[in-house]
Amino acid sequence: MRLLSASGLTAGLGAAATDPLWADPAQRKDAPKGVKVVGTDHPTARIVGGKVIQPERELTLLHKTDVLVVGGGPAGVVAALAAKRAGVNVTLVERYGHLGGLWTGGLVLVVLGHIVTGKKQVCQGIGEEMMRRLEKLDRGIIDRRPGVNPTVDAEALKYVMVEMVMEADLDVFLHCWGVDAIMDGNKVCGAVFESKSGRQAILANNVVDATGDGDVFALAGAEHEHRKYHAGLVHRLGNLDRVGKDAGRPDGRFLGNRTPVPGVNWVNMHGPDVDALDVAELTSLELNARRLIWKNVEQLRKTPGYENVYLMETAPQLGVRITRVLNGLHTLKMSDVEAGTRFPDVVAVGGAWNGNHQEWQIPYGALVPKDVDNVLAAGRCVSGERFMSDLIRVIPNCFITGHAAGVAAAVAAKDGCTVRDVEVPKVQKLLREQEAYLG
Amino acid sequence: MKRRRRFRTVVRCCALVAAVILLVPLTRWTAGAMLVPAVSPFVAMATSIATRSLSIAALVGLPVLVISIVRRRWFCRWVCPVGLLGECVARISPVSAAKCRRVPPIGRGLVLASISASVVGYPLLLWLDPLAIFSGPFSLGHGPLRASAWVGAAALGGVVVLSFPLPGLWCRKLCPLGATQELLAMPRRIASRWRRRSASPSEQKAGVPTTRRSLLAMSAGAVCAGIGARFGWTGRASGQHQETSSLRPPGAVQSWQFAQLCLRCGNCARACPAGIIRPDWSPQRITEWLTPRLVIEDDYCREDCSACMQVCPSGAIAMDDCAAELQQKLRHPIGRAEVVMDRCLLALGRECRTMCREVCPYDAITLHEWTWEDDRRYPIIDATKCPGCGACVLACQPMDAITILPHGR
Repeated sequence: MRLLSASGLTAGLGAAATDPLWADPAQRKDAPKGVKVVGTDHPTARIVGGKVIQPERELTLLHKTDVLVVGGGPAGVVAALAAKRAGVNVTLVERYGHLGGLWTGGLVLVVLGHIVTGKKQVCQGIGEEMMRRLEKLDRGIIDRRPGVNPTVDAEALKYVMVEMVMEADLDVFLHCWGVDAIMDGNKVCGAVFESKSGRQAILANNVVDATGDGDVFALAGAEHEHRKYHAGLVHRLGNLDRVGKDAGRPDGRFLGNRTPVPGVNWVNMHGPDVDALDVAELTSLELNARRLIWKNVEQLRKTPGYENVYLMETAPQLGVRITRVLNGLHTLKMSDVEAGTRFPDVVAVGGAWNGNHQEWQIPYGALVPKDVDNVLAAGRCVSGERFMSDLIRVIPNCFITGHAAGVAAAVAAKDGCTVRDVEVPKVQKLLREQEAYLG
Repeated sequence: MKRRRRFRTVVRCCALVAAVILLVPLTRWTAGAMLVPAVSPFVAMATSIATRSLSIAALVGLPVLVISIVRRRWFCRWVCPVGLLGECVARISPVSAAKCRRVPPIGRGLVLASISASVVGYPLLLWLDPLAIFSGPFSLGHGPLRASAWVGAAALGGVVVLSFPLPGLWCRKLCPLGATQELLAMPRRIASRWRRRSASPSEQKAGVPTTRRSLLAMSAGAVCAGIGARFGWTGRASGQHQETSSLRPPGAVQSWQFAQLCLRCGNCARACPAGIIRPDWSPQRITEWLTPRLVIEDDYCREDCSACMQVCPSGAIAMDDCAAELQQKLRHPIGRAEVVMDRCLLALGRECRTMCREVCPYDAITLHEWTWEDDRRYPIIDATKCPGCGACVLACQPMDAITILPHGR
């Protein structure tokens, strides 16, 4: 495991002359192969003729890799692990300080939509492996029964993901925000990241866009749809085990749902319809949501018997449900879900929210952009019509598309072809070897 | 004479075959099943009086009614398929038909009771109509209706087999359809008798007073039955309806009237393409046994269908003849959907795909808008648009947060 010290690189910008240790991070023993610092200094933005101009500059090349996974949520972590297990070099980049994205940081703790009629679990593979690991932990996961949607503990899952990533010896960069795609013609060959170390580039053969917002494929110029959807902020309540037996009955929406930790519930928020790519709307949402949560918790505490309940935490990440959605080679359609359409290039099988309908197949084309190459979408931003938003955005459907994208990117890197020309049967075979369910 | 009888047998066999063809149905014209029970003048009279309207179904029975006035028991002799089957059995019976001569004409009493009860909108005993009994067993091919089909088959079998030990008892003494024809022909008989009496006064005591007496007694009994039914049963029903009332097909008449107006012929259940019309077996509703009930479990009442309205012979499920299917449904709601907030995921603040709104064919469901001031979200059902089709009930499975309340509550 080589968790690169981003702060070390920052220090390098300021103290390069004095401390030989910081002079060239590429010389450090713990640095991954291919790290090379090209330049550390850059001209700042200037006002030219009343406009703010960013001068052209050469970027630090942070890293070179086979598969670059942008976004460390359920899709991204699974994609990175899958690609690594397929035998290529993988780099995983995450903007927050934890892995798991909305599954952990967003406190979306319920694994919704991995089962179909007949209590069959269709979302398997590495995501299922994570849940099995959680089972072995104390207070890691509850409701792991056939036909039921389990609920995980955020901290336990963060730990499990870190363990898995470190065991797999992945290159991970945390606190790195993907801000640009690096293009060679219409091929994506890496991405630019902003972090405490400044603006740096990572080059890769193939990129998996697991940002959820589709940042990379959008920046690369892939055709996509921009949707407004409701977004909210989730919180957790504590001390619910100290509620008296003769307590009143508060509004169910204040109480939320139980978690593996006794006395702790997670409480969802529907929230207003927003454009979650607009920072002003995001800010307003965050500010108002905090105020509303406090108000609701206060109201809950006024219910007789609930005086000891307290607001344990609000989610570190806003619960953004849908923003950008790829217009891929294939668009997932509700009519296909209802008809149970089978695709020859199936790479994942999705489930139903409440196990009340049949399984539905996700073909490889739903991950592949129409016009840009060497980038694959994974997670909630895969190609689907508006009606499909709710089905593709849930956690298990994110980790299965992540699994597919990771394996496909690895196969393409190994075969030296573009992700568009990848041999899907090879991908399917590898996915099955990694215990994914493909119908 | 013999040739005439043979010709009549051929005609009755043809009628039997035609009835089977319409009921199975072997033709594309599925609505034709309505014709079989509707051709009974007993049904036509009682239902027209009870509903105070003349439906298409009643018009089917009208010609038979008119002929019966001038030709005594014309329908029995030329058409009735149940009578044909009964006679076949009677033919092989060793018992003489004379055995039942002295049985009083119970059928007339039944008819008079039903007709006078119809005046108060509550026709009794319509289900005794032989054509309704004949229609019952045809549900055998429809899986969920098999139980009621066996009951129908048992009823038809009972009537037919009765002709073996007691030939002619059903047709001459019990059958309300036969008795209706006799009653219709009676004015003409009485008139001719009066004419004969004025010609030869010796025939004066030819049973007219007994007829009159029984007529009076039966009518009085019928009125009592009708009034009792009107006030006694509905009074009891209104006290219990919360638990016991059931969903009826669209266009069903009011619940107090429905169970009595329904012939139990099974036409509606067979015609329903969604298969949601099922016979009622609830022990709490013995008076409603075998009447159609909507069971919204596997399917809902389709917005593009009015099959049950088209095949009902009695007007228990009535339609506006000129309106399109969608309007039919809105004009004749099954009930109205209601959200149980304790079970609604959206109202509980959880993630929900709001499939209820997506599937509603009538756009009757909107969602309460979420705002910072009022952070609740739940489905709102527009009662003016909701015909209670149950599409949302299915969409909400397995949460079961939507129920359909029967019409009129």
